[in-house]
Amino acid sequence: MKRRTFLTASAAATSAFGLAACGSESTSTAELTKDTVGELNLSYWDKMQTATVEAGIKKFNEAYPNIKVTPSITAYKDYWTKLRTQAEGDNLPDVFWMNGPNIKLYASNDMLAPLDDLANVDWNDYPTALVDLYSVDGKHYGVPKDYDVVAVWCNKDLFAAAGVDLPQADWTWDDFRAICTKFKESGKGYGVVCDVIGGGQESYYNTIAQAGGFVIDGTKSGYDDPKTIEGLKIWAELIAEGSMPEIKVMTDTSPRKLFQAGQAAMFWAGSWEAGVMKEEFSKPESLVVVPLPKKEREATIIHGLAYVAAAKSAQLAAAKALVQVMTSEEIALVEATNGSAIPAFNGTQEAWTKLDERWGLEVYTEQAEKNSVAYPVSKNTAAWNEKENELLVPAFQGTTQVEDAATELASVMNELLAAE
Amino acid sequence: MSAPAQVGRRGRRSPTSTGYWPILFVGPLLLGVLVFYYYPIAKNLYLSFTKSNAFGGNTKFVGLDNYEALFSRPDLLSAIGNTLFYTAVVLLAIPISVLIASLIELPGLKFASLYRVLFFMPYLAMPTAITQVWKIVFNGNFGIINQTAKALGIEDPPYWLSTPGFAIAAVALFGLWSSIGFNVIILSAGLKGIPRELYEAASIDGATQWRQFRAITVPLLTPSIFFLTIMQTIGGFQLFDALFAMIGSGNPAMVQSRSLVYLFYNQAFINNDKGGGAAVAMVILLFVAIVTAVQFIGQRRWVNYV
Repeated sequence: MKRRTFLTASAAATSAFGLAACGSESTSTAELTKDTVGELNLSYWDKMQTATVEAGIKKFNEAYPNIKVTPSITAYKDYWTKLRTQAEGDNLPDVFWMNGPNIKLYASNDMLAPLDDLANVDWNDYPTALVDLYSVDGKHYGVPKDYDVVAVWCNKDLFAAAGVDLPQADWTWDDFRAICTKFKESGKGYGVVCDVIGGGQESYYNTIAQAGGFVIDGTKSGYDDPKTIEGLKIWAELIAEGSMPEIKVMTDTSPRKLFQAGQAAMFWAGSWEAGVMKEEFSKPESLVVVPLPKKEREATIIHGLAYVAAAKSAQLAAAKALVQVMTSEEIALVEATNGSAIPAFNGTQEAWTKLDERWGLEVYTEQAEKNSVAYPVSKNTAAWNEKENELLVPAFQGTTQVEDAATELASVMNELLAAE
Repeated sequence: MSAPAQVGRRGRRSPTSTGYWPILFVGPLLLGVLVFYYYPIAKNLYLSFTKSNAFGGNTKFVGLDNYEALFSRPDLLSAIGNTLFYTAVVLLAIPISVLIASLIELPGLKFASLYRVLFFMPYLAMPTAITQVWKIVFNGNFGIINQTAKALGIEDPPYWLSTPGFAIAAVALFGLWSSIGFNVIILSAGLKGIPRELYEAASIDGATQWRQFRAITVPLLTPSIFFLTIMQTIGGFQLFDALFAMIGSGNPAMVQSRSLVYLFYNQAFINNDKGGGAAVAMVILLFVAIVTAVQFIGQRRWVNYV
């Protein structure tokens, strides 16, 4: 009986979407057949990706028509609070979206099922930095679904008006600063805008890596490293010299809005901005994307989401199968065409770069392949993220010294890391 | 006073001889109160002496550690200060509301119900939606306040929501504005309960409208005013949503603008420290209990029950 079930399972899987259940120890899909009846809950937060999620569920139901998948969407702001409450009540959704800052928290508290036995996932199909991000203590806990990296958006009209040349692909910090200075002199607006208030993903995490520093290494904070401090200082200097708006200006009006209003020539932004630009920017022909400038090295911070399965899912085998479908090449291609995120599955990104061919969005995917640096996380990432905002923002503003703030941050962060 | 007592003596049995019936009637409600109010308070008290992981597991008893950590926090004092400041500003809305309500209830005022609806409307709207509107009003670049200020020749008006000090004041101003609707409705109802004859008698005696307001309206409104004072104080101590929606965690002014409840949120949900959060919650509860008790004792001096 057992053997038969296993055979049917692999047959169904192979015929349905080319999955090959290999190894009899993979109990995850072995007990699953076309006739398996069940219900799964799937939680996510981005309504722009509803179409992709639905396409995935449809695909899953072709293989397992009797398993009902109920997707539920929660706005990002409440997603983690809700998830935490569900986790406390042993009531996590069977399958859900996970991000970098939370993976270690959930995995190390035994909330997630290890996914090493997923027979049909070849981890080489996904960017290594992302696979590592979702590995805890040598086990895989999430299959990457998409990624985002950072690059610079340039407003060609403003460059032309100020008589400044567009940056070259291999530009350096010095070139970047020189362009900013020229803009300041021309009076045509700010040289650059960037989100330094809500975390470092688009700003200082990148410059820290470019300067050769680091945010976290194991259980040690890198904020007191001289090179890390160099990566922080550039932002304080840009604001002090008037190349970038003051903090209060960017708090009230987001950097994105300032850039869209033509008030700044360059915008350091994550790849997710592409979809927003497509929808909101009034003169798309004036935009072009270039890589981030380099200092000691080229670097762009990569972060991505993953699909995970709850350890206590009543139908773990089905949940794992759903994770596989949602992160398969086919669904990745659907995602790319929908344009809401860059799919993580290697080789499926091209459709995304065609969102607007004038922009040169390949810069994002090329940089991801060549220069990506993993997004810094620990078990309780949110705790020190809060301290980053608290201590670094006044330093960028010039109220405190960058060195002092960074040193204090390092000691606070080390304490928090020790408490994890 | 004596009439109901006589009815009681004649018509009802003494309360002690009714057996278990009262418990049956009160029971369901009492059960709800016990389960949904007292149990969480007791559980919270217990949690405040423990430390657990982010998901409530692996709980350890740590005694007063959480309280010690809380009282050594450098931002505790400013959180208390901000909370008190906000509450004080919101309480200012009560005298303003008394004026508005008595104007609306002036006999013979045209469109009185229209005004009542207009003032009550903000209370019905979703608070977070209103805060978004106020965020635009307070916006440093495009907001109506700063645009007006600039038009009047004030150069460089402050960025209200991102400058420490101004930020909590802006939120308090919003709190004051948004509490007026509720106040006016309660006070209008209170005004309706004041006998017309008192005013007639007063005007025959030659009292001016202002004198009538001071000598009749305000004293006889004191029960409603007292009720509002209690409610708004408790509401003020619970300041969180407006602060969260208008300033938010990424704002550079947030550190200096935290309220006690924000501290609780921060500890329990950002730092994943349930025990520490529970300790903050206990302090808030104690604070509110003391202030409310003081108000109830103090009311004997100034509240007139007719």
